[in-house]
Amino acid sequence: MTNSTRGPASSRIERAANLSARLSLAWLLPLAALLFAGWILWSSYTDRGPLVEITFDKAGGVTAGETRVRRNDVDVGRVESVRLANDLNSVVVSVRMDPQVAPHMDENTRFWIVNARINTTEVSGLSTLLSGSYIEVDWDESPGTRQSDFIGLDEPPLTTRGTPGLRLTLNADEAGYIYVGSPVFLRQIEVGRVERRRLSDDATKVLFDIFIEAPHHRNVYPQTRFYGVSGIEGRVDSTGAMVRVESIAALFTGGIAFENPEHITVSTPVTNSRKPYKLFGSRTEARNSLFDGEDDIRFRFQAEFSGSVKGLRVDAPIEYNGVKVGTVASVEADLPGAPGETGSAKAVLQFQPARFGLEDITPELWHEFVGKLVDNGLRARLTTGNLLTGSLIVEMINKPELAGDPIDFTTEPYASLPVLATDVEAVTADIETLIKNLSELPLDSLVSAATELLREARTLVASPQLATLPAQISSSMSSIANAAARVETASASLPAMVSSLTAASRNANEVLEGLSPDSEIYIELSATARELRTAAKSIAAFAELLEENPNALFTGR
Amino acid sequence: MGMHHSPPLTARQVGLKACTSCGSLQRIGSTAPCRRCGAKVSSRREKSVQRAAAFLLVGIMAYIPANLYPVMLTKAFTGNTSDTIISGVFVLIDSGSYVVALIIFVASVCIPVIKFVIIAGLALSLHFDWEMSSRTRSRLHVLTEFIGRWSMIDVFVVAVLAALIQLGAILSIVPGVGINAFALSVVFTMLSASSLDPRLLWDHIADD
Repeated sequence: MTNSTRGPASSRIERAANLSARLSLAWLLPLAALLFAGWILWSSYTDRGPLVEITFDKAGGVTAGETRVRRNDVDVGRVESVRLANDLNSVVVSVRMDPQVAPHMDENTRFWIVNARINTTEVSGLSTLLSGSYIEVDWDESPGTRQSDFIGLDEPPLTTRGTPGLRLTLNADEAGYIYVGSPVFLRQIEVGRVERRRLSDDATKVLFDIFIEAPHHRNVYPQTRFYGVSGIEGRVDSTGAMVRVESIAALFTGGIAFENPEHITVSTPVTNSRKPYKLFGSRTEARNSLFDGEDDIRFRFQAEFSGSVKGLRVDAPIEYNGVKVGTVASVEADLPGAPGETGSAKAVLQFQPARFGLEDITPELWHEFVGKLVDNGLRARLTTGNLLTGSLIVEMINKPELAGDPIDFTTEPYASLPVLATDVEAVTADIETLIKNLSELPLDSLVSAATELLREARTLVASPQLATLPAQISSSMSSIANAAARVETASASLPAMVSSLTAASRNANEVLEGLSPDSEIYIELSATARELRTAAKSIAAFAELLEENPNALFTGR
Repeated sequence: MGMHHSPPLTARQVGLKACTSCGSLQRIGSTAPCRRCGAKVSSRREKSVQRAAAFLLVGIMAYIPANLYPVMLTKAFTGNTSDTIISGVFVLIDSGSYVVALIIFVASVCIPVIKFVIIAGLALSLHFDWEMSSRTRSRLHVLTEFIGRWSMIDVFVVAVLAALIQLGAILSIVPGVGINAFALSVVFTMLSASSLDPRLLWDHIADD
């Protein structure tokens, strides 16, 4: 701008002056751009989160650069690379996590690949069919020691960490229809899920890990009973027919339900998983075994019964005053030690002290307790459980007159309870007689009579005389009452009948004594006498039984 | 101009300077604004080459992320794809749209690079007084002005697509970071081209 009026030479001077003069402010722009670029580079370097490596069995649709890592449907990381592990058998996925989640990359963090899953218990992840799979991450509340290598889960966990609730282990003899993901019900409300099922270490049990969500986990007590609800439970008995289905879902997938005994309010809820609960096969089984603890062999006794124990089976009940207090654990024969001795059978009796109301008794106290009872006359005795099947049960009875015979604590492997000799043969004979009598019932004629009756009934129904029926019914009712009264009188005279039969037999014997043994009449009469004796005996037994329990004929004892 | 064999007369040679907005003449010594339109009047714009070089530098710097980052994000129910300028060109070639691919390639790659080279060449030739005929310089300058108008085509393509294709989850197009950088690059290249005072381009003719 100086030398303005001069010739061409001046323009070069001016340009030189322009260029060498103070620099243009425009140079600040590239400088700012450089700084900006530098800042972006620096911040993107320092802001990047930790790189973690997750080992999966299969890559399952995970793509480098695209697959996201998500938590609660929010992206928290991105897969940077997918490669085979050094052993070439698994896949290592490198993930760049967001810096804000870095503190949670500790040992409690779990990763799994979310794919569409369609099976009997769930349909999930369908959105991944279109959007592609992603990796889900789950961590607990508290940050821990930073970790960069993880093992991915094969299957998504059913409950995320930090979900309030209770984890329990159940054991069952068989897996049944209960799968991972099967529901857990309380009063038919779904309150949890089966998280895992596996065999126990020795493969004798199936273990289920279940999770019960808060607040329902407060309903789990030490006495809580768990039972399987695989499909339909049906029952037909004297009270009618019953069909029970826990839920339609459980009908197809199976499930677990639990319930508590009614007096549970005195107990405290379980707060952490203790020893495994037993998983019963059905609700009925669970209810029946409300007092069943785990069978503890320290509560066992043995009892030696002389003679035959035919009909005594493993799992036969042990009853005390008609209440089940245990089961027969095993029955073995003892060979006679010396010639002339009769052999005996040894039954191992598994008692369940809880059924005596002794919840947390120690084995020592239990032995002391039983010892005292035996001192006061407690005895084990075999008795008939069911007349029709001839099965035997062990009955504990008090015979105060036998007090003073203590338990033999020296026997192996369990202490011996004193037993009360039972005339098992007599019992058997009773049964045989009863069965014979039953078989001699005129069933054929009964059936034909019934058929006849039905035919007549049909005629009756068709007949116009039916109109007069109501009046007849009332008269019938009164005659039935009369008949019943007569039956009562008849049964009252049963004992008299027995005694007269016995008397008849005695008379016959007396007559026989005066006759020659060779005569025909003697042989006939003695046969008659024998028959009379048998009849008297069986009628007596039958009457006694009917008196005790009129239903016994059909249901057994 | 340039048609005569004798050097043409310039305003500066007669002690005048022209207003670039309205063309009125003033005496070179005056520092006052244009008496007719009020614009700032200078014989040769101050530090024109420096400014052109600075803007060009920013334009080139912005061109780097413009090519590294995606210019367009396609969110479809089949998945998300992101395309840089070059990858977009290859996608178009793969899908058989050769003409469109060529247009995009020329507008987004060739033209900016040609502009960088021309402006850099002009600025350097002015700074270092390289021998170059004024006609060549003028043609190069006209060329930058001519092709400059095409360089925004990629920005327009993305802008139109992003505005039109918004079908929610089915298909939607979102502009990427790259297109911002690309637009910045184009803007600074234009600023650079316009900062270069064309009158400097033929000053040496008067010198010869």
